[in-house]
Amino acid sequence: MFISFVRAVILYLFLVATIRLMGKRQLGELEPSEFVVAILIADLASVPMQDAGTPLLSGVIPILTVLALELILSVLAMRFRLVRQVLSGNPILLMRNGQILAKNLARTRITVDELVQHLREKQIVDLSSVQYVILEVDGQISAIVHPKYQPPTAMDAHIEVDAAELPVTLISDGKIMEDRLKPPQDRAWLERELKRLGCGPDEVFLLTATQSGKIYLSKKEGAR
Amino acid sequence: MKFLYTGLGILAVCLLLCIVMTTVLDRFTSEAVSHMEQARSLGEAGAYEQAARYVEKASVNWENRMGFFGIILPHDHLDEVGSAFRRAQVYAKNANGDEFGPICVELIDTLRNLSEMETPHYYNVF
Repeated sequence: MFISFVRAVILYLFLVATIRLMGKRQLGELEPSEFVVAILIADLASVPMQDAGTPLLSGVIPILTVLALELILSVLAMRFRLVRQVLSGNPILLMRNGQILAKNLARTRITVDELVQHLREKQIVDLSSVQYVILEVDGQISAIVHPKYQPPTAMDAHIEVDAAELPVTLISDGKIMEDRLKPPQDRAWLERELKRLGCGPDEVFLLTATQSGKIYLSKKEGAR
Repeated sequence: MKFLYTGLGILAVCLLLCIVMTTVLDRFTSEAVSHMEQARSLGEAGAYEQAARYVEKASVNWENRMGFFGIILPHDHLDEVGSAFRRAQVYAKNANGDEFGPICVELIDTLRNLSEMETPHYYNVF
């Protein structure tokens, strides 16, 4: 039991480091080779974790090998289009200008019901309003509605709007992120703002600020 | 390119580790096989005392290297070899010719299989 416990800790930390080395991807956006690697790595780690008689290296060496191959292939896919095509394939058009491309649909083995379901999930019920539907290489379906059916934008209405600003987290769970305090949002500015808002840093759950000084504050529960 | 070099580096390290471990395992098991073959020959000639010494030598060397073996070989195989060594020592001490010969053969085969299991022959790969 103790052996299993120690191995579980070692392998867990090892797997986290391995996945981290693979790079940031959401599970739903994995390409085929990355999906294979994710499943394979989990399976390889479980063998020495469950069986104390199996050497730890029996899991570690294959995992490292699979990781190395994934890193190499991903770089080659980035540099060479042919490798990318072989590993991931090409996006496939499923609908164009409201018309379903039946041959492409058959090729991808997606049924009409599945297609309509995907469009419904994207709040699209009128198929004639769709300009393009594309099956992406990671298996996601993208739908692009014809501009005339899209809500008007500020540009369409000739309205001037400010550019979006990215807020920066300055306080998280009571802790001030010192490395993110830069002029004009420096320490003195933060203290002034907190005084104006009537709370101290330890009462703050989340405080973000944009470059223009717009603040979002969420206090901790129970704070006055 | 950082990821490419990292991948190639990891692959190279894994390959090197495998080569080194296979080579060292082969050397250790060959040494044990050699001692056991000597023991078997001596047993066949009736020199059980000398045979027992060779078995003892092989067994002590094996025990001293258990740390290494434990890292790379399945533990049930190691237990099997350990048990066979102990039985061989008992049979040699008791000059039990009927059991000593077969146990030596069994041990030699097992040791050779342990080494062969880790070599990249096509029949191991496929």
